[in-house]
Amino acid sequence: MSSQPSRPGLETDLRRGLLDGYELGTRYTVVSNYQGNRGLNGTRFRRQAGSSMEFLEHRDYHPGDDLRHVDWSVMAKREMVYIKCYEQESTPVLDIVIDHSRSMCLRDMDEDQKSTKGRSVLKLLGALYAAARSAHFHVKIWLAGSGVGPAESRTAVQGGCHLFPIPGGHPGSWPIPDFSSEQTLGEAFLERPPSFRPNGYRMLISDFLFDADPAPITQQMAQNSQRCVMIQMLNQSDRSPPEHGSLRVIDSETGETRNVYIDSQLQRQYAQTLENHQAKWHESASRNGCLFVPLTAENVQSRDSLRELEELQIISSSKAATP
Amino acid sequence: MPFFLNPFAFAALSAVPVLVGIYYLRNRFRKRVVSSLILWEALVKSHEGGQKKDQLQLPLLFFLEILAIVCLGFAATQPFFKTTNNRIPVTVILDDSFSLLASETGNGEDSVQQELKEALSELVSRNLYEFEFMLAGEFPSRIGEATARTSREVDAALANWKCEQSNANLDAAIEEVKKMHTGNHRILVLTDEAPSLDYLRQDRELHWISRGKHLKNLAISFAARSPITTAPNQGQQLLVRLDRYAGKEESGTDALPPSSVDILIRRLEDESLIVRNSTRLSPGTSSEIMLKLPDEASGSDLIVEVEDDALQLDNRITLLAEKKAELSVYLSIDDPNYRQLWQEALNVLPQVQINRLPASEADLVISQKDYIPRDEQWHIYCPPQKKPVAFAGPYALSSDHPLVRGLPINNSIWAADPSAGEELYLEIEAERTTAEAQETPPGSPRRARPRSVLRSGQTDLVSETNLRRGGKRIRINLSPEFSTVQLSPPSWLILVVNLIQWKEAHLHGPEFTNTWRNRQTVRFPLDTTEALLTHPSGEKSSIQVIGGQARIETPEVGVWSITSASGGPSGGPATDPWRWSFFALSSSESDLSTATSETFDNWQELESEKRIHFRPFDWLFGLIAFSLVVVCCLFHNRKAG
Repeated sequence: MSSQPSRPGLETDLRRGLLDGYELGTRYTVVSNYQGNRGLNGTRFRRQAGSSMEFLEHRDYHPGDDLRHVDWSVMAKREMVYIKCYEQESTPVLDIVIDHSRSMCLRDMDEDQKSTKGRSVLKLLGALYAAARSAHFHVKIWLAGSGVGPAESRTAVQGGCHLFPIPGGHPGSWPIPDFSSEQTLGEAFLERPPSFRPNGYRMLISDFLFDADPAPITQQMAQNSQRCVMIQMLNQSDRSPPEHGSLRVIDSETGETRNVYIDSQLQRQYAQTLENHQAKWHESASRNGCLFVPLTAENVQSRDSLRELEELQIISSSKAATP
Repeated sequence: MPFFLNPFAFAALSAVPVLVGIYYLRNRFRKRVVSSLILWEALVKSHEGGQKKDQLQLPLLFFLEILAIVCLGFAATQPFFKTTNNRIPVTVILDDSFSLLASETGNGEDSVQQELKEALSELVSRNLYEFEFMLAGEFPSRIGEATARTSREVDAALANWKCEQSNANLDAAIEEVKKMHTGNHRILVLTDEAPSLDYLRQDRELHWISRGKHLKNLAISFAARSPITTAPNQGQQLLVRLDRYAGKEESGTDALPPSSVDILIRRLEDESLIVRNSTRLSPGTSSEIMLKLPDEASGSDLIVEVEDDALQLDNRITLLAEKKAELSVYLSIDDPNYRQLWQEALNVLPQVQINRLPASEADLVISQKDYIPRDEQWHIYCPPQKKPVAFAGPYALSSDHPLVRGLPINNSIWAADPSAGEELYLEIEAERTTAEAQETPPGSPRRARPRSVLRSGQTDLVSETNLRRGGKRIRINLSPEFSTVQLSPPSWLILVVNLIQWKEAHLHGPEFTNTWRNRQTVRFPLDTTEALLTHPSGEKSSIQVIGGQARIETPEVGVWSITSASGGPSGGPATDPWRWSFFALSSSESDLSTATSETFDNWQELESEKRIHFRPFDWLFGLIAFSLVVVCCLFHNRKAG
């Protein structure tokens, strides 16, 4: 598996999307829903037993608690085991999962060296990265499906979800995902889900155009998360089928083909099917406390803002963001 | 069958495979890479059932477009029909004289008539004309009910073309057609004679086909039987005229040797030979033979025949025995001189019976007094003369009147009282006025004012008045004392004979017993409305009797008979029908030397008229193509919507 897109022109196109997104994201910051003082070891305080010097309270011991936090003096006086709780200093983490399947980099019909969908995905990735960095989030990027290996080895990894090796800093030095996974997002989550950090922010970017039960994925995304956002990135061509005529549709991931005659009736049926499919994911996401945000690649590509995410208070402009 | 003015335009149909190619390319599946087939799977499965419907829609449009291209292609070829409506109407005048039966072999297969039929068939096969048929005859008459276009229709119409007439008046037939039709109507004459130069020069619509055969022919050109009048009860005699016409090979040769000719007289009923007579005739000569019939044959119907040759119809004729018709005259003239004058004249005619029957039963009543005649009775009114005035040179108002035929009256004096019989005239006039006010009974001739026949100055000398139901009153205003008409026996005698013969012609029965004319008039009692006619072939037909008269056309040579449908000739039981013989005799027709075989074509312009009469219908294809294009556009718009 190549670590680079198969054609240099496409890589350039995708990188431009990534850099455009990064530049756009510097105007935003990720909205966090928990507040606290910033300590030495982290950027935020959490209401858990932590390692800061600020005592918070006593509480009962629960099995599994660190014995180092037992207040031995209180136990001697009251013969009860109490745990001393301090204000915990923590650094918020944003886990961004990118669907690395081929459909996420669907080539444009008129130009094979460009992919509006892939560029929009990377633009969104760059923007979220920049916005998260503005909010002092530690950002981890996961590729769902076989992806790019460690930067030093530059070898392809096997299936499942893997960390996307980013050198840090400006994404200009990042490798570009080649979106070459033969696995769907569901298969990747099933094989090896991402090892999310508890209480972190989680975002999943995919087109969700695969046949799988959404529940396991949404549960994985929502479990022990502060906030979970599932962004569906679709091309305009995904949203509506082409005009009338005979068509041989080819699956970008499996290469399977179907012959179909497009007419107005089928167009209506297609729209209804897509709506049902989105509703299924939306319902599953809602049931697990996640946001399901459908975006159109062409809109993301053409606009100089992330209005949909802003309206859902996933990000906000830097001036309005809480430090 | 359609024709094409521009057949090269069929090359436009090459657009059909182009359209097929376009459809093939258009209907090939366009490839489209999609993110996933998940949204398509269910649609493809559910669409398999409905796809058939869509495939049906597609071929329909395809076929409409194909049809539109084909229609445009056909329209470009400028197709046209030689429609039947545009056929040129032609009236075919058929010479039905017996000379058309002339045949070298005598079996009819090479007759003139047959060759003319073949010439007509060639015209029929051109599919350019529609034909009506008219038999020339002595009087032209149409045959066939409708116009004939096909060979079968023409043959059906020509089944009634029987060439057994003694004469064919082609000129009258041509004039008749010209009166009936104007404009683009053509005349075709099928005959064995050549046309006159006037026709060839002037009549562009006339086409003349002659197929005559110049053959030698022996013909009976005249035959009549009559009683021998030199002495009473001398029996009957037969006058036969024979003509021997030279053939083509003999014409121009002088002093051809005579050959023997046998004339055979047979009895009609059993064809037993009665008389055989031989004579010698050279080609181009004729001979008249008088034969005295044996007494036992005087009342028999006879066949006169000579040997068969090129024309068989003029070699055998039938002469029926003349039935002796008696005419009963009631003479009531007070003036002895005048009465004697009448009596002497009437005695000349053997069929006249004077005063044998009372006035009420007589056929003719001659009187000087008022008399009201019964049905079909004639009254000769000779009014008393009070103040006669002599007139020199009376004149006839119509020389065709039966009373004045051959009457020499120019140098005679006719004395008459101008006011004689005025009282009777007033009475007659009153009767006429009253009768006209009433409904005229069916079958009665319309009565008219007294019609003057002979006149001098303002004085009617002889006049006639038609009365009800066949009655007639003839007024002869004559004062014999001061006239010279009666002193000239031929004049008076001719007048009386004309009168008797005129009345005889109104007696019941056929007008002629032996005739070559193809029209016969048979008189019946006035109440007769229908008669049964028997043809020589045995065919029977019913004919209508109007006003006591039946006019019959006889296209067939032979013995005809007729009887009243309600009874016999005299109104009694139908036991003895009237009979007459119709035969074809004409020296001009028997003489085949004038026959020609040539086509006189004045129709050469017709070839150019073909194009005029051809009806193009490319507009029809254009209209269909336009409609199809509109439908295709609607289909496209519907699909796009």
